[in-house]
Order: sequence, then C-alpha cells, then structure tokens
Amino acid sequence: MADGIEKLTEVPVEFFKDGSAFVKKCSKPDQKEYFKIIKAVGIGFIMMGIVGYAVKLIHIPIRYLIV
Amino acid sequence: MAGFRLLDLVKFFLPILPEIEYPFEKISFDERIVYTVSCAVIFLFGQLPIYGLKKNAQFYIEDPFYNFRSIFSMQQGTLLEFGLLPVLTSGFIWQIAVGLRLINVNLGNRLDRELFQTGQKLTSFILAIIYTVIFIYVGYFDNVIKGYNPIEIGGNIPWGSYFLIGLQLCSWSWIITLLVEIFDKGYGFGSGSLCFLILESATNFIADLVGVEIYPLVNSNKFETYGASLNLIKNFKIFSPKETAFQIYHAFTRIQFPNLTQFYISLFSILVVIGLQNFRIEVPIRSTKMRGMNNIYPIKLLYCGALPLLFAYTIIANLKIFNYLFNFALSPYFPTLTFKLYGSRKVLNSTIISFAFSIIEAFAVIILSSWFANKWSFISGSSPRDISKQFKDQGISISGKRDVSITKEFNRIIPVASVSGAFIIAVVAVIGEFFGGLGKGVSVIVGVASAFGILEEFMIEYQQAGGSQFTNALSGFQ
Amino acid sequence: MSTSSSSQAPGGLRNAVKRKSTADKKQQSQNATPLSTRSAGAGGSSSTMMKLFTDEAQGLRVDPLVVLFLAVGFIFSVIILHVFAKITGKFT
Repeated sequence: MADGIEKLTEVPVEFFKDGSAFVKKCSKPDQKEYFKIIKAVGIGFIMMGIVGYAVKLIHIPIRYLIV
Repeated sequence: MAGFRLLDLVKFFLPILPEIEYPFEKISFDERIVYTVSCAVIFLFGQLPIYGLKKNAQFYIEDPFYNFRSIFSMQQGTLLEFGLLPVLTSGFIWQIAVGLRLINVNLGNRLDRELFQTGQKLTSFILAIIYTVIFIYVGYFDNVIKGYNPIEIGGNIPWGSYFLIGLQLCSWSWIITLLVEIFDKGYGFGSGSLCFLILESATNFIADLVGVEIYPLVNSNKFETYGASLNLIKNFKIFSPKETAFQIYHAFTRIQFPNLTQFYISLFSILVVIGLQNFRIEVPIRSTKMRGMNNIYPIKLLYCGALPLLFAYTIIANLKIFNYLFNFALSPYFPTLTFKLYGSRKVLNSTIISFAFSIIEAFAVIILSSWFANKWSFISGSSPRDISKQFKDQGISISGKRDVSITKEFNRIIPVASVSGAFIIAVVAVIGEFFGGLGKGVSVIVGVASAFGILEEFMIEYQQAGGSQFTNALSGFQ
Repeated sequence: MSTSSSSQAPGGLRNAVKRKSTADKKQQSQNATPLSTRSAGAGGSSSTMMKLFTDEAQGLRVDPLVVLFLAVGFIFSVIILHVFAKITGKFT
C-alpha cells in the first residue's frame, strides 16, 4: 500500500522535473520575433473576427424583421 | 469479443447515412478557398433564432451552461444551440476508444476504416438527438416558447412546439456535421470543427468588444450595447466623474453581456499562447542519402495544440449536460440530495458549494488534458513511431544517432513535450476561468492554438499551388 | 533494420537476443493494427488537428454542393416560418 502511494506521488514529481527541464531546454522566441508573430496573428485573428462579425451584423435586421 | 463488434451495429445504418463524395481529383487552391468561405458563412447563419420561441429568447432562458458556451460555439436560443459539441464528442470518443484499443477495430482494413468513420458520423447524429431530447424533457425552452406558460396549471403541453424546436435543432446539428465532413474530406483547409471554432472565437472576440447591437436588460426597461467597450464609451460622461467611475466599474462587472474582464482575460490568454506556440526543441537532422544536407526538425512544446484542452472541456460539458438531466429527473425523489451543482447566473460563484466545484473542475481540466496529451501523442497520426517511419521513407536521420534509435529519441522527447504543453495551457485556461472568463479565455486559446495548425496547412498548400488567382488579383490592386 | 548492436547488452547475449525478439514481436503486433487512420495511411487526425471524416465510406453519396444548398435551403425555410408566423400574428 505504501508502495502504491509512493508511486502515486512519484509520477507528478517526475513529470514536473521532466517538464521544467524540457521548458528550460526549449528555444524560445526572442522579443523581436514574438512581436512579429503577434502582429501577424493579431491581424489575421481580427480580420477573421471582423468578417465573422459582419455576417453577424446581417442577422440583426433579419432578426428584427422576422421575429 | 466473440464475433460481435460494435462496428457491426453501424453496418445497418450504412445505406441511409449521407456521405460526401470524395473529390475526384485534387481540388485547386482557389476552389478550396471558396468552399472554406461558403461553409464558414453558412455556419455563421446558424445564429438564426429558433422558430417557435419568443423574441430575445436568449436572455430569458435559465442557462446552466453559460461557462462553456463560447468554447463550442453554442449560442442560446438559436439553431446553434448545441454548436459543435456533438461532432467533437463523437470524434473524441471514437478516436480515443480505438487508440486505446477499447473497441476492436483494425484500421489497416479498409472496410473497418469506413465503418469507423460512419460510426463517428452516426454517433454525432445520435448525440444531437439525445441532447435535444434532454433539453426538451428538462424543460429548458419552457420559459420562452411562444404562447405557452409553464407556471399555469392545467395548461396543455405544447407538443407541436416541442416537435418543431427539436426538428430544427437536430437538422441543424446534422448539417453542421456534414459541413465538417466537407472540410475534412479535403474541400476546405484543416479540420472542419477546428476551423469553425476559430471563426467563432474570433467573431466573439470582436463582438464582445465593439458589438453594436442594443438589447434590453432583463427585468428592467433599460437598454445596453452588446460590446463592452462600446457601451462604456457611449455612457462616458466627462462632466460627472462619479457616474463615469460607476460606468467603468460596470463595464468590468456586468453579467448579462460581455464585460471587459473577459476581454482582458482573452487578450492575456492570446499573448501567452502565441508565446508558448514558439517554444520548441530543435532536433538536428541530416539526410542519409546526400552528404552535408543538415537541417532541423522542430518539436513544439504545444505538440498537441489545443486538443487536450478541448478534450477536457468536451468531457466536462457532457458531464454537465447529463448532470442537468439527472438533477431534474431525480429531484422529485431526493429533494434534499440534489442541491444545485451549477447555479444560474444570479448565484454566480456566490456560494461555497459552487466555489468548491469550480476548484474541482479546474483540477479536472488540468488532469484530463495532461492525460489526453500523453495518450494522444501516441495514438494520433503523428506519434513517435509514425514520425520515424516518415523519416525512414524520406531518408532522414537524426544527427549523431543511428537509424534504429530515432523512435527511441522521439519517444523520449514527444510525450514530455505534449504533456508539459497541455499542462501549461490548461493552467492558463483555468486561471482565466477563475477570474471570471466564462469560457471566453478558453475559447480564444483553442482558437489561436488551432489557427497555427491550419495556417501551416494553408501555407504549405499555397506554396505548392504556386500562388492563386485570388492573391494574384489582390496583389494587382496594390 | 540492423540487428547487430555494437555494445554488449547487460544480461548477456542470450537475454539480449530474447529481449530483442520480444521487442520485435511487440512492434510487429503494433504495426499490424494501426491506432489511427492516419498511421494506417488514410489521412485523419494529426497531433494538432482533429479530423473525423477522411475516408470514402459507403452510404448515400452526395456532392458537397448539395449539402451547401441543403443548408441554405434549411435556413430559408426557418426564415420563411418566422415571417409567416409574424404575418399571421399581425392579422389575428
């Protein structure tokens, strides 16, 4: 039984050790790269949102007319 | 498993289930754009109000599911009442069940593969029916059905309205499944369900901030703008600082409409996810055929993207729906036992019980997504074994490693990457939820993280197609 | 696959051979039944992508355009229902 409990705590501890080691080893984006990506993704996301919202806007008069 | 398999049940339904034709030849890049856009627009048109409900029904329905609506694009009182939940649930169930060998399917066999796919579709269709029945049985729509007053004793039950509402919900859910199939069959980009999720989260992000619709406040005769910042700007009064202070406070805390707290949580989550997306381990690779061909093969920290988080919330959403049913079904027998697990908006986080449950839920999300990430990294089509096989086919090897140990090397890296990635992303999501994100933060995390995967596919296709007429036409304008 | 290992495995040659053969067998059995449609070579979910329908199965064959028109038709029928209800509601 004690063995089981030990194993139960062992898994998360091991996981945190591995995980933090992994994250440390990762190559991370530097600030310039990060801002570049944010700009690209941000523009894409907002464009998509605006298109989606435009379709949603069409719904407002339709809703008003039909309900 | 003596001769009987779950898949054989599916066989009976084979002839009646619609099946999108596989494209005869490779679809051109432009055609794919057209299909993607038209599917997306049709998906968005699912926001039509259900026929048979009162006006502005979405504000009068007692909503037990408010905190995961935006994740699955479930929109209250509209045709998208279930959103993508049936498709995602059935997909996860089947793929996990096969991956963990819970059901006996040999995917190497063509017929089995077809049955497996039809099984996913059938499950999605059936889940839509089940959800509809649950919602109607529990009386979810009772408050808002036109010409029906549930409190009135002796009023006749509106079977006709129930039937019409159910029909609309089921049919739209089935159409969504077929739209997803159009994407997955290669007419669109990436995976259908994820594309719709991205679109929805982007739309919500904009609508929550600058939505111009004006809706009445429930239980009062005031009106408010849907967009949080727009409402704040509209009510800004420079000459009365006290009123302005109140309005700013109100913009962060209003509950019937999106508030600025949710916006900032979403923004914060987007920034974190974009950062995490570029965390990667670069494995040096070399070609075994040509000398001096060195390159790197990146393994991302978010190896499974947002799927673990999506899986965790799919499970929780389903549990909540069934809990909703049991709460209702058992309440006449155990009135003391069935305390309300998930209160309505009014008692939001106001009791200790709901606080305890949100903590349990947070842990469940983290554990479920870590578990899923671990399993998924082996059972998805890009497991260490698949990648090493791919390497072998292309004559690539890891520098400084023999051919044999490629799988071993990837086995060492990939599960750790995917589990830690899923863990971090789940923690970010849970923190957002804890501060009152109401699923908005989770929804943008899923959206942004999936967008990267689809963008990758898009760019690869774009380069292979060598540009397209669309972009050529666009660049002509500049 | 090269079968000779350069370093002596602990536990002696016989154990190593045995272990290798069981490992091979295990791998074979794993290769025999792929765990996902993608590893079966038919497309399907990848690590970041959730794909459900990538094979062509039997069933009621429909063109994707048919589905799109069906969806639009459905939307219009709901709209017409609404309009109809509104008009009749006005007169009564």
